[in-house]
Amino acid sequence: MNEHASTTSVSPNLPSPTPNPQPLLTVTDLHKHYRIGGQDLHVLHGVDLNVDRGEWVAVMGASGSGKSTLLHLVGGLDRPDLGSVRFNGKDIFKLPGGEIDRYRNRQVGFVFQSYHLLPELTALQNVLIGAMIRSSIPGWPIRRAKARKHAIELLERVGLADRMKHRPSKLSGGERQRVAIARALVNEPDVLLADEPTGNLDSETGQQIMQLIAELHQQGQTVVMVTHDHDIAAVADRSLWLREGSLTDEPAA
Amino acid sequence: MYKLTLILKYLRRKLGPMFAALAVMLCTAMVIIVISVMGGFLDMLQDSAKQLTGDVTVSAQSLTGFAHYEDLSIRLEKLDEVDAVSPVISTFGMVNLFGQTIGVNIMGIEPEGFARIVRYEDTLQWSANDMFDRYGLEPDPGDPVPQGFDLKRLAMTLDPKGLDMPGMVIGIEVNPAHRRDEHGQYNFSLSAVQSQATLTLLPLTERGAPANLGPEHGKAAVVNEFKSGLYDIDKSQVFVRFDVLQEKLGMHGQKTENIDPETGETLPGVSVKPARTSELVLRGAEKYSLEQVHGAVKEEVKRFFETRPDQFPPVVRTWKQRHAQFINAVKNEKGMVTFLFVIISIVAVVMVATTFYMTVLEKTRDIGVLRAIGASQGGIMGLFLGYGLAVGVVGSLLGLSLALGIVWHLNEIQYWLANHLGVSAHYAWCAGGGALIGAVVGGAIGYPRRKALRFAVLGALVLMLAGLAGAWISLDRAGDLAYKLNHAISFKMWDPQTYFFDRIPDKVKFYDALFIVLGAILSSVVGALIPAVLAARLDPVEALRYE
Ligand SMILES: Nc1ncnc2c1ncn2[C@@H]1O[C@H](COP(=O)(O)OP(=O)(O)OP(=O)(O)O)[C@@H](O)[C@H]1O
Ligand SMILES: [Mg+2]
Repeated sequence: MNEHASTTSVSPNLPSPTPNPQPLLTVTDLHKHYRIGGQDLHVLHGVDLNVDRGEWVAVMGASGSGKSTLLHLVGGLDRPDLGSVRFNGKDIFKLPGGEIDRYRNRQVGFVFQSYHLLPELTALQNVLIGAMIRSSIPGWPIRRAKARKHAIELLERVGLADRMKHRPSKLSGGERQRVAIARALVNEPDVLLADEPTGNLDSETGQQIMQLIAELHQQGQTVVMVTHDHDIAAVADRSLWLREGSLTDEPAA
Repeated sequence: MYKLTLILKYLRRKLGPMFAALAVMLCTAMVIIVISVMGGFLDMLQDSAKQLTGDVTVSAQSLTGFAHYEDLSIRLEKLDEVDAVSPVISTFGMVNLFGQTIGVNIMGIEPEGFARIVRYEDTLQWSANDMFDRYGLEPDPGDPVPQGFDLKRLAMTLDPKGLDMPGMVIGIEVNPAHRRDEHGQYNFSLSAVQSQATLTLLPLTERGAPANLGPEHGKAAVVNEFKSGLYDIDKSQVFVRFDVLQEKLGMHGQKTENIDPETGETLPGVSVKPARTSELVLRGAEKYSLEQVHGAVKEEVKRFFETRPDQFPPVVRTWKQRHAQFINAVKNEKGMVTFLFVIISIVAVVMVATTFYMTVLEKTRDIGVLRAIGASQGGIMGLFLGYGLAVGVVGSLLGLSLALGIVWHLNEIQYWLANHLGVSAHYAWCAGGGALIGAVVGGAIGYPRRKALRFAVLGALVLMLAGLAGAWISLDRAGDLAYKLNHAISFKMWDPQTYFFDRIPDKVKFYDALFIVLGAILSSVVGALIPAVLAARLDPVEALRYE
């Protein structure tokens, strides 16, 4: 893959301001295309990206530029046509069977624009579900108490101490997104992948969510966030633009 | 772990699979009910058939019977394979009891020997206690039951104490006076015990011609009634003593003078007409199979009649051969039930598959979410298979309870439908009509005040109670209204006249139920399989985008 990257990459060399010898995430020459009605849609062609531990990276770009696609690939939810995503140096798409599910479960926490909570579960159960997926049925009784305590702490931390037993339909948008953030954090992931976490919220609620993410970042959480909003991107350590299928650090003209 | 949590949540909160569980429940209940009733019915048929004829019968092919049966009996009894032999004469006749004449099958038996081979004693309906109860007597614990009151003993000897006529045991439905009470029980006060009846017979010569110019009449006294449970038998069979019937039919051994057929002169010497019987019933020895007993008896009968070429040899049949049509019915039924089971299982599979397919569509986004949080393909498949299993378990257990509830109470339900439907319908109709009128009137009154609903409910309640009261009063006032109603409106689910038995089989066999429940659970899992595979193979990104 690396030889390939050197020959086909059209993206400019990204600055690498990290003192760390090895970045947490290394995205190399990522390609992804869709085929609709015989037409090839080359969404990503040659995306390179390094994310260091503890860094907060904002990815911006026009609608349809492929931001979500990139995030899904980084999170191991989708497969690229070409290129690699390395996590701690290991290519996640070459992991042995089942390991990629574990990667999504433990190393990555997804936060989506439209929350995507499970409607049948309470806020607390929605947070716990990640821990449940991690645990086998016989192992659960042992882990349960600890996981539950942790989930409650997380909900308290996002300011929902009094909403634990509520179902998503009984929560406001901002509250739902906080539950979603708590859910993403339950297995203490190395990186939080947020896809326009404030996209469905009014600016004030969006601000609160950003506040929360900023706090998490302060405590050392690595964050990769997709957003439309320049002001929001400005809070991040680093802002990148996805344009014509590759990443650049030059803002749009 | 999430699978279990989600399955439990989905079970409680999702309507679709609840319908699937309902379908599984109804399928399970239906198959259990059909198998239990049909199987029970055929088991009863088979049992009764066996118990009414003994293991093996040696029967004359003609109504005139066969001779030398005494010697044959002795020969057969000596066989290792045979435990007991008893002769039986069966003939058609009429019995006139309480002024009513009906056609019956008259069986001449030697009760003691007969009872050792065929279920006879158990079927006798009345015992000494019935007599004591009837006359308000107290049995003296020190004293044995007085001879005249021991109805079982009388039936075992067919001896009507103190009456100068033969005794007779009649099928309980031969007695026209009997009415079963609401528990399906017969009442001794209506029994024919100690009543006299007239028997009419048609004796035949050994060549099969009528022996007399007219039929033979004779009086007999009822000593007991029997109930085999087979309605056809109970309706048409009576027992008298073997020797009595044999003589009446002219089948007993006779010495006659020889008359020259041409001159009409009496010739010297006497000719002996040997005694005849219709059949011999046999009980095989425990350690031999039915087929072994049959083979041995057949061989012996063949050898016996080889030395008597003038006789038509009787046929030897096992109870299975004799009741081949019952046995075949059982076999057919097994095929039918298997077919039914397969069809119903397919129905259950399709029901579960469609509702689960809908559920997968409805849950597509959630499936994407679960994948994003780390669920594997196998996990998602397991989730839906487990869900199918849960639906199957819940549905089939509910179905089992429903089936047990129905089958165990079939006779009550049948009795209620046949006897109380009219009055119940009357109550329902009055109450329902009252409620409807009350709702309409109440709604109309309440409408201008914008309280239509409240008034309608109130009106319905008031007039429903009024309707119930009206129904009660009308039934109370018009004495025979209840009877007329129940007579006019009834549903006869089980008519003993067309179904042999007087009771609907109401047992559920453990292994039948277990097999069907497991089958239903398996069907549910199979039904969930395709939707589960589809769910597992969903592209998580597509699933997340799914609206
Ligand atoms: N499964 C798919 N099949 C075909 N085309 C797809 C598919 N998924 C995404 N696309 C296309 O790929 C492009 C990038 O989609 P993506 O969702 O990544 O954009 P985005 O930058 O996140 O946009 P937005 O800001 O509106 O969320 C879009 O043009 C979209 O139509
Ligand atoms: Mg997007």
